[in-house]
Amino acid sequence: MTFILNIVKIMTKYWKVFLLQGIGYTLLLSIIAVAGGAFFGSLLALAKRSHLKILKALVNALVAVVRGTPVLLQLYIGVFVFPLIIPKLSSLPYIYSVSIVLIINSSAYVSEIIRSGIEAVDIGQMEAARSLGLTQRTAMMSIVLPQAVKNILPALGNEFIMVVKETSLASTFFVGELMTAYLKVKGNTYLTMECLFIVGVLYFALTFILSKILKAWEGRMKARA
Amino acid sequence: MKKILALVLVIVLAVAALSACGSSAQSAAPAAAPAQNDAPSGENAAVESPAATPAEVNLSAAYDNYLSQFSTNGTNGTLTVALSPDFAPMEFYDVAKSGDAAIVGFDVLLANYLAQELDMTLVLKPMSFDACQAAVQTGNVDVAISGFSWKADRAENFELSDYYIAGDNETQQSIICLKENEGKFTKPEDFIGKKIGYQGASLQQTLVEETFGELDVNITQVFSDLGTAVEALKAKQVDFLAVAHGNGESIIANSGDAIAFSGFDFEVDPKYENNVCLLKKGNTELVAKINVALAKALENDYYTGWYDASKVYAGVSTLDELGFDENGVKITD
Repeated sequence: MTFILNIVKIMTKYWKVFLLQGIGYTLLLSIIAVAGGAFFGSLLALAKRSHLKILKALVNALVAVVRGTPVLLQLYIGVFVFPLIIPKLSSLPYIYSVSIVLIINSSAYVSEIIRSGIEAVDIGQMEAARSLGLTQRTAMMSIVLPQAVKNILPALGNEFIMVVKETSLASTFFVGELMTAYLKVKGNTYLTMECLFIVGVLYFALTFILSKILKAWEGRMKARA
Repeated sequence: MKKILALVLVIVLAVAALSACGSSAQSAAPAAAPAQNDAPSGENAAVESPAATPAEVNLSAAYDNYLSQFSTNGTNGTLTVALSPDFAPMEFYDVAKSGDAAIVGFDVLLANYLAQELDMTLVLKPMSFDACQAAVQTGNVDVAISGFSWKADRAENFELSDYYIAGDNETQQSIICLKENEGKFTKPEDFIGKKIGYQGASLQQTLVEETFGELDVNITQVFSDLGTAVEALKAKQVDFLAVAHGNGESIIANSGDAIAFSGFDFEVDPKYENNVCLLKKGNTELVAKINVALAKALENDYYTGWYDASKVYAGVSTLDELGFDENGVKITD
C-alpha cells in the first residue's frame, strides 16, 4: 500500500521529469539512433558487398568490434575519447557524443540484418534474373531486394526495440532520458523501487506501442512486396 | 497508415521542440545567473512564483541566497566540473529548475565559489560517480567535485586538492538499520553475526573494513549505489548499512519511518573526514589556485552555511532548525 502511495506522491511531484523529459529524450535518442542506424547501416551493408577488399575488411572489422563490446563501454569511449579526436565535441553537451555512439552501434547491427536478409534469398533468383538478361543492378533492385525485405523487416523491428532500451545506458551521462529521470528522482527521494517501477511501466508502454506500429508497417510492406 | 504517420510526426515535432528548449536553457543558464546577483532573492522568489506554497519557497531560499552571491566575469575561460547528482544533499536535482541551474547542493555552491575565485565561467557536467573519475583522467573536465573522500589510491592516480569540509556529511559516519533496531547497537561487538552492507569504492567501505574486518561480521555485500542498498535493507537482505550521516538523514527522512540510526558512529580518522576535489595528475597549476580559494573559504567559514542551506534544500532539516530566517538569511548573533 505504501508502495502505491509513494508512486502517487512521486508522480504528483515529478511527473514532468518522467513524462516530458524522460520520454522526450528517450524518443529523441531512439529516433536519432534508429534513423542514423538505418541510413548508415544500409551503407555499411552495401560496402560489405563491395568488390574493394580493403573497404570490406574495414567494415567487417568495425562490425566485429561494435558487436563484440558492451554498449556501455562504447559510450564511455564515445564521451571521453571522441572529443580528443574531434575537439568541437568537447564544448557540446554529452548527448551529441552519445547519439554518435548509438548511431554507430545501431548501424553495425542493421548492416548485419540487411546482409543476412539478402543472403537468405536463394542464389538461384539472382542467377535466373541474370540469365534472363537483367543487369546486376536491376536484378538486385527488382528481384532480390523485394524478397529480402520480407526477411529484414521483423529483425529490423526487433533491433529498433532494442535501441529504445539501449538508450537507458546513456543515463551514465545524465542526458535526460527515462533512466536519467529515475536517477534524478531516486537521488532526491531514495525511493528506488517506486521510481524503477514507474520507469519500467513507461519503457514497456513505449516498446509495446512501437512494436504494434512496426507490426502494422511490416504487414503493409509485405503485402506490397 | 496516415494516422500513424501523423502521430509519429507529432511526436518528432514535440521531441524537437523539447530538445531545443533543453539546449537553449542550458546555454542560457550561466548568463542568467549573474543577472540575479544583487536581488534579495528571499522576497524575489516569493514574487516570481506566487503559485508556490510558502513551504516550497523556503526550501530553496537559503540556498538561492548563497548562490546569488557568486559572480564571475569568466576572464580566465571556463571551469568544467564533473559531478554525480544523485547524492543529496551534496549534489542532487531540483526538477523545478532547468539546465545547469537544476543541479543543486553543497558541491554546486563550492563549484560556483571556485569559479568566482578563479574568475572562470562554470560549466557543470553531470554523470555517474564512476564516469566522474574517467572524465578527469581523460581531460574531459577540469575537475571533479562530487563528495570524493581522500583515499591512498586516489592520491596516487589523481591530483587532489586540499580538504573542504561538507558539514557532518563526512565527519560523522553512521550505520542505519530498520526502525525496530533503532539505537540498540553502539559498539563494534554488537554487530557480531550480522550483515553490514555499504557502497563500493566509498569511504564507508574503508571504514567498515577497518572496523569490522577482524570481527565475525558479514561484510561481503557491496552495492553499486545507495538506492539499491536501501532497498536491500528494507527487504532484510542486509541488517545494516554504513552511510555518511548526511545521506543517512536523507534516507531516513524519506523512508516513511521504516529506517533509523542504529546508534553506532564510526571513529573517523581525520584524513578521511573531509572531501577533496579530483584533478588530472600533473595539473598542479589549477590545484594550487583551487587550494588558495579553499583556504580562504575555510578561513571565513563559508562551508557551514553552504552545507546547512543544502540540507534544508534536500528536505533533511528546516530553516528554523539550522538558524535561518524565513527568507533564508542566516541569523547571526
